[in-house]
Formats: sequence, structure tokens, C-alpha cells
Amino acid sequence: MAVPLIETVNLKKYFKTGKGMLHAVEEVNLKIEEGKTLGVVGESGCGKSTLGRTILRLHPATSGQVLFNGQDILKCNKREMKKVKADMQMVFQDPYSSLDPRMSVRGLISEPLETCGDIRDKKEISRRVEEIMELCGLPANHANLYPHELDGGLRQRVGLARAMTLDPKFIVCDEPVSALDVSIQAQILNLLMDLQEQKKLSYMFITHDLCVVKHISDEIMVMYMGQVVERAKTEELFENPAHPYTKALLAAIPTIDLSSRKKERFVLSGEVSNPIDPEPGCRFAHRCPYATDKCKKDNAVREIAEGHFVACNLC
Amino acid sequence: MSEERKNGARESDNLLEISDLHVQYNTDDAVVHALNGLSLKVKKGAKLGLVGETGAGKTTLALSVLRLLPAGVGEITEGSIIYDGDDLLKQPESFMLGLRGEKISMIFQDPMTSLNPTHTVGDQILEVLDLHFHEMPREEKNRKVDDILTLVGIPPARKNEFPHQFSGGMKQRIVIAMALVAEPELLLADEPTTALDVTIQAQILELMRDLKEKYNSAVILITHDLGVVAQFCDSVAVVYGGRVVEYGTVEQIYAREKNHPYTAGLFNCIPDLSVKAERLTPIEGRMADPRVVAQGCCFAERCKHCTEICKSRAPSAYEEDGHGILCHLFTKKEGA
Amino acid sequence: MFVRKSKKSLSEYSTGELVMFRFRKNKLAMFGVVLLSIIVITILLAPLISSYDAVVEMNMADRFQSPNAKYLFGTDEFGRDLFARILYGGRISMFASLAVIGIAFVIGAIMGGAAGYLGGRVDTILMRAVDVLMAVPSVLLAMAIITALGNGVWKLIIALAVSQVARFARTVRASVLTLRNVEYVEAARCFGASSLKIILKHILPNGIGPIIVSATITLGQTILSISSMGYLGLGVASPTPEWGTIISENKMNIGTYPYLGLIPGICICLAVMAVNFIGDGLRDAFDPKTKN
Repeated sequence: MAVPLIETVNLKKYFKTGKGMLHAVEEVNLKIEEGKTLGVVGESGCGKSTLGRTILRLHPATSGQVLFNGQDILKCNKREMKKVKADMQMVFQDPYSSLDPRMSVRGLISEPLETCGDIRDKKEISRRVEEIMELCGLPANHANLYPHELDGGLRQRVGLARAMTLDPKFIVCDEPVSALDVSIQAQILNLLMDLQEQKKLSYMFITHDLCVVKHISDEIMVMYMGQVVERAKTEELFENPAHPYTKALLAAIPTIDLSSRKKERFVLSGEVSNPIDPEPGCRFAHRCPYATDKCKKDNAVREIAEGHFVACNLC
Repeated sequence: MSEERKNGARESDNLLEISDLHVQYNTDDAVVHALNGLSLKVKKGAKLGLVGETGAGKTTLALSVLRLLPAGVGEITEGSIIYDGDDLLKQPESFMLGLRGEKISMIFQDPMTSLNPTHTVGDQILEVLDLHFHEMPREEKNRKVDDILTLVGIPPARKNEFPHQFSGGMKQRIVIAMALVAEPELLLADEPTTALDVTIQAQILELMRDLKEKYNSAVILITHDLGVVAQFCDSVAVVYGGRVVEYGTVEQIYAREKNHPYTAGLFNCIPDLSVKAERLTPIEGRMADPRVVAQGCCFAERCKHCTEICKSRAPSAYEEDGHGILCHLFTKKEGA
Repeated sequence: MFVRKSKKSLSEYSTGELVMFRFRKNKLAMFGVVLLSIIVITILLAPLISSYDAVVEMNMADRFQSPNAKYLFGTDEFGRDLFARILYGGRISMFASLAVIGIAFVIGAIMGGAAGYLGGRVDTILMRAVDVLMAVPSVLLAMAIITALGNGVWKLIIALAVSQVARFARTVRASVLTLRNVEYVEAARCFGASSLKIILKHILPNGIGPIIVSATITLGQTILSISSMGYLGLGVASPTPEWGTIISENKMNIGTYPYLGLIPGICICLAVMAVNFIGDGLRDAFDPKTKN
């Protein structure tokens, strides 16, 4: 069994706020193999973006481990971290605020190389920039353009190119297509999948859109208010969703399949609240139609089928 | 109220009839052609989905109906908007003031910015009644506010709270309450659920469905989400490049037997739960530049089936059984 | 995919170009630019127009002459050419103001930048220092410092710069706070850029807008402050000419010979007005919501 590229062990991230301790990420355990994609799905406030940033050490973790090729990167010092940083990159959601408006496309893509790459020669950097632009479907004559001259899809390609410059092994994609038009989304998703095949990249694909994640993920993890509620291979999750929240999420998605119009759809009531100083046990209990008293004490993760994990005592 | 309207209404089955509407924005450096001959018919009590991507002209259309285009910049150059027999483009502003909020209401996309943060939610709903029903006694207005809040799922006891004390989903419910309290005949909903989580979206759509049944308002739901349209609407109009390129019932369009190439393209590139495809098929190219009015078909540049005639002549509508497609591929078949 | 080489549309202008475009449309702002240019150019050309001797040379026979052909602005009680004194005095007023702004900006930017980006204790300490500076009215602060340091143009500049540091520190800090969490800064942290590099390369260039506006408006105030100091006899001392000093040294005679006060007063007014128009124009130009 190969060592997974990325593994987290009981990863926690809490934020201190004026109102109390915000439990943004609660004891997350996950594994991502080389060349595979883990989709992290959830609604606002579930902690998926915080999780991605904590893994990349953009936020300091509260406790737990993040293992990259077996090495705990949370314990690395600055020098060791520099080596690892090149292997772990991020693509952001908003194509408008993730690119410095004052830098040209060439400047944006070459910045990682100039900051921490080993290549010093200007010609070499230039060549590498051209190579990456071609890889990401950016026409060579766009090198001197500025972000405001490009549309959302092109900007997102630039963001992707910037992440690819250091030849990483793992990329956290934080809602990379949510801000794009539907017809452009498909282009970018296809590009991501092509790159994965070519370079054996691993992705953590964060999104609220279950339809998008189905196409690109090998495994999916569903989060709710900081807790992982279910994790399974993609097909298994869609065919046999176990956790009540996953089921509600799937039921809520408006599908173009007209036959479902006639059926009674289960609509989840209530709202998401902020996990500030939360009570122990399952945080979905107050919205769950099947909740019992036991749920407030026990929401330990159980493996109900091979590779299928659910945090619910009723499953 | 409804009785009076029925007596005064003209004969037509259509509540709203938009014909050949041309709208442009006169900005500093160029004229942006937002709508280029858009035609649309909405029956009373209908649930129409207006589908299109960014820049297609959907919001411009809604603002044009209400004559709320940005002053000095937005200009309606041609066409007519006939509402219940009256051409709205020929009416004075006083007529429009009476119409907005009472006969035609609008819900905007972002609930965060639609509500005034310095007024209580109760006051904001009351304002609608104050503006349109001067003779109504105070107690009746307050009762109406309580009723509509209960109807949208917010306890009336909370009416003295401020918008920031509510979540996104609840704010949207309040906005819906404001739009419906005067029992309008037509509701324009501009991407009402795009900014919300998917489970909250389901709640809001269900709420809108229930309320529409109760008040029998016609609803024009503006969205880019084909799934939302499938769940809520009866009829669909697909907008591209400032024109309606396809219209019909949901069944006709979603059957996917005969579609405008753009609609077909949209279906192909959407990752849907029911679709088994491994790879998505994107629509090549980009949205047409709205500063340039296309000579022929607005979709020609991106269309896989584009021919010479498509580039030079704008297509006319091919209609069968109420299902209309603006494409040369179909008009050719007619033998024209 | 198309690329436009010539800029045909406003949406293709960069932020800087858009700002300039909006600025140029503002008539009042452009008037300010023209006025300021005239003042600055005239002052720069002072040595060509009249030598410094005319500034100090006393000519008792010609005293108290109203503006005429020989003496464009007339003469003062010592027969000194007022025009020459105004010209050379303007150099001090204008350039000293620029020096004040420059120094205050650099110190303020360092303080504000560090406070905004590093946050925590650094922020608290620096901002409390700023609070202390702001608690004292800037004019009084400047006066106190000059009294301690003694007279002289550079001492005046230092005193005024210290009194203006607080404002710049705050403006820069606010800019930095806004930009600190923007996604392209996060991206830079992702590939290991150091804090200093991020501040210099990403934050400052993008946050410069409000800072420029603040600087321009402060420039107007500084011209006034220098003149006020001059009037009070602090900083610049006779016979060195400076617009405020000129008014002060002639204050006994303004009643009888109003031109002695009016002319330097009008010069101060025009300079401050020009700078204020430019500052307002820049502020409006940077605000994307301003109606064109």
C-alpha cells in the first residue's frame, strides 16, 4: 500500500473570536493518493476552505498532523517548508481578486519562480513561462496583457498557470469554477482533468456544487459545520448516500431531469449556524429529521462499507 | 382587489407582451447593445424561466419592463412592452410609480444589499403598503405585514429587528415578502437563489412555488441554472446576445430533441447528477461583444453548425406548437 | 480569443489609466493643474527673472511704492522689491511643503505598513504612538518642536513633518489592512514570498490611491502651516523671504499699504486652492462610483 501523498490526522483549526472559540475544522482525517482527487463538499460555514488553507499552512493549525509523503509539515522549520511549499499550491475562487491587477500575465506566472524557484537565469524563466502558458491553454500573445483585459475564464487559466509554475504535486482548488459562466466552467474543468492526467497531480477540490465535484473527484468528503459527516468513493456516495445531511444535499440539487418534478422532494428545514463553542456530538442533530438523544453524545466515524465512512450512529 | 383588475383587464390571454425590444447603454466610450430585438410573451399566472449567461441581457430586460434602467445611460430605442393592454413605454412616470411594487414586483439577486440596514424589516414591508394603499387603515396594514411574514416563514415577533440580525436565506424571504405583500400580478425574480446555499435554495424555491399558487402571480424567474428552471418553471425562454433564441414549454425544451445550438450546448456542458458523461463538452469561444451588433445570427461565431447564411442574415423564428427556435437550421427545413 | 492592441474601450484601461481619464475630465482639477504649473514654473525660473540681490537689497528711496512698471508688486518699507521677495519666498513655501510631505510620508508609511501587515503587538504600540501624536493639535506640536529646535528652514520642515506623520500612518495602515487579506496576497504567501516582499510588491502599489489623495490634500494644509509659522515668526526668519513672513513683517503697514498684505495673501490662496482642486480631483478620479 503506497504512502498517500497527503494525509491529515485529527486536524483541528479553531479561531478565537469575540463571541467565543470558532471550531472551524474539527478532527479531520483524510488521505489523498498520488494522481487522485478528493472532492470536499459542503455549504457555507462548513469549514472546507479553512481546511484547504490549513493544509497549506496558510493558517496555523490548532492541533493534529498534516503529512506530505509521510513527513509532518506542521513541524517543519522555514527552510524545510520552503522545499515543500513548491510541491503544494492553490488555485483560488475569485478570478478577479486572485490576480494582482498591476502585474502582467508574464509577471504573475513568473513570480513564484523568481521568489523561490531555483532557476535564476532570465531566459530560462521566460522559457518556463511560455511552457506553462501553453500547458494551460493561454495564447503566447497574452503574456503582456493585464488581468483587467482578460475575461473570467482566461484569468482562471492564469491562476492555474501560476500554481503550476513550480511543478507541484498537490493543488488545493478552492471553488475554482464557481465564479465562471457555465460554458467556461466546462473548459476549465476539462483543463484540470487533462493536467492531472499529464502530470499525475493530486487535487483537493473544494466546492459547494455536487454536480461539478462528481465529474472530477475519485473520492468525496462531505462536511457540515466543521465536521466530516461522510466520506466515500464518488460512485458509492451518489449511489448509497448514508448520512442524512448527504441525502438532504442530494435531494436539494435542482436537476434537469424532469421526471423528478412530480416526486415529493424532501426539503431540509432550518439554517446553518456558526460553530462557536459548539455542543459535543453531531452538529447536524438540530436539523436532522432522525435525530435522537444519543446523537448529542455519539457521532463517531464508522466504516459502513469498504472505504465508506459515516459519522452517524444511526447508519 | 383581484376582482377590480379582472373587470378592467383587456381581452388578451397574455399579461405581458414584449415585441422587438432594443435597449442600449450609452457609456463614455461605446454604445453597448444589450437587447437586440427581444420578443417575449408571458401569460397570466405563468411561470417563465428566462435562461442565459452573464451579459445575455436578462437583467436589462427586467429593468426595462419596470423602466428602471440607469438614467441617462440606458435607453430603449425600439419596440414595445405591453402590460395588460397598456404600452408601458408610452406611459408617464406616475403610471409606472403606481405599477411598481403593486402590479409588478421585482426581487434582486443579492439579499444582502436589497434591504436597507437602518430600517427594521417590518418597516420596510410596511413601506410598500404605505406607498400603494393610502386609504388602508393602519391596523389592517400591520396585520398584512404580520400575515406575509408568517407566510414566508418568519415569526412576526421579529418584525422590529434589523436586516443584519437575519441570515442570508431569511433576508431573501423578507425580500420576497416585500415583493408579494401588495399581491402583484407579475413577479420578476432576478437570480433569487444564486447567492444562497443549495439547501436554502430548495427552501426558497418551495416557498416561491407555494406563494405563487396562493396569489396566482405570474413569475419570470431569471437564472443561469437549467436545473432551477426545470424544478420551478412551466415555460422557458433562452436568451443569448440580447435576443430570445428559443422558447417553449419546459417539456418541449428539456426533451432535447429539437433545440437551438446554444441551448443544446448548455445542456452538454452542465455537469448534472443524472448525466453519466465522463467529460463535459464546453461551448467553444466567448460571449459576443455587445458593442458590436452582429450582422447575422448572434451565435454564429460559436456555433458548430454555422453556415454562410448564418453569418449574413439574422434568422427568423421557426415555430411548432408554441416551441420557437431562432435558427436557420430549422427555418431551412420549412422549405423557406 | 482576440487581443486588442489599441485601447478601444474603457473596460480595457488599467486602473491607473482610468484614474487619469476621469481626472482629465474634471475641469476644476485641470484648472488646478494649470494654476499650480504656472506657480511652480514661475518660482523655478526665479533666478532668471530677478537676482537674489533684489530680495535683500534695501533701497530706502524707493520704499512703499505701489505696484508699478519698475516694481511689479511694489516695494516694502525697506524699499525691497516685493516681486522678487514673493518669487524667492515661494520657493521656500512650495518646496518646504513638498519636503514635509515627503518625510512625513516615508516615516508614516513605514509605521502604517508595519502596523497594518504585522498586526498584534506591533500594531498596538505603533497606533498608540499615533494616537498620542494626534491628540496634540498639529500646529501647536510644530510650534513646540521649533521652539525647542530653534529657527531655520530645515528645523521647520522637521517640526511640520512630525506633526503630519500620524495622518499618513493611519492612511497607509488602512490601505494595508484592506489589502492584507486579498487573494493575490494569499497566493504570494502560498509560494513563500516574504512579508516585506509582499508589502513592497503587492500591497503598496495597489493601495497607493488613497495615500496620494491624502498627500495632496495635506500639501495644501502644509503650505498654509508654513505661512502661519512664518507669520508667527517661527521657522523662517527675516530677511529670508517666505510668504507668511512677508505678511508678518509688513503687518504694521498693511493698513496704509494694503498691497503689502494682499499680494502674498493671494499667492498663498492660489497655491492652496490649486493643490486642493487637484486633491479633490484625484479623490473623485480614484472613486469608481463617481459619475462621469
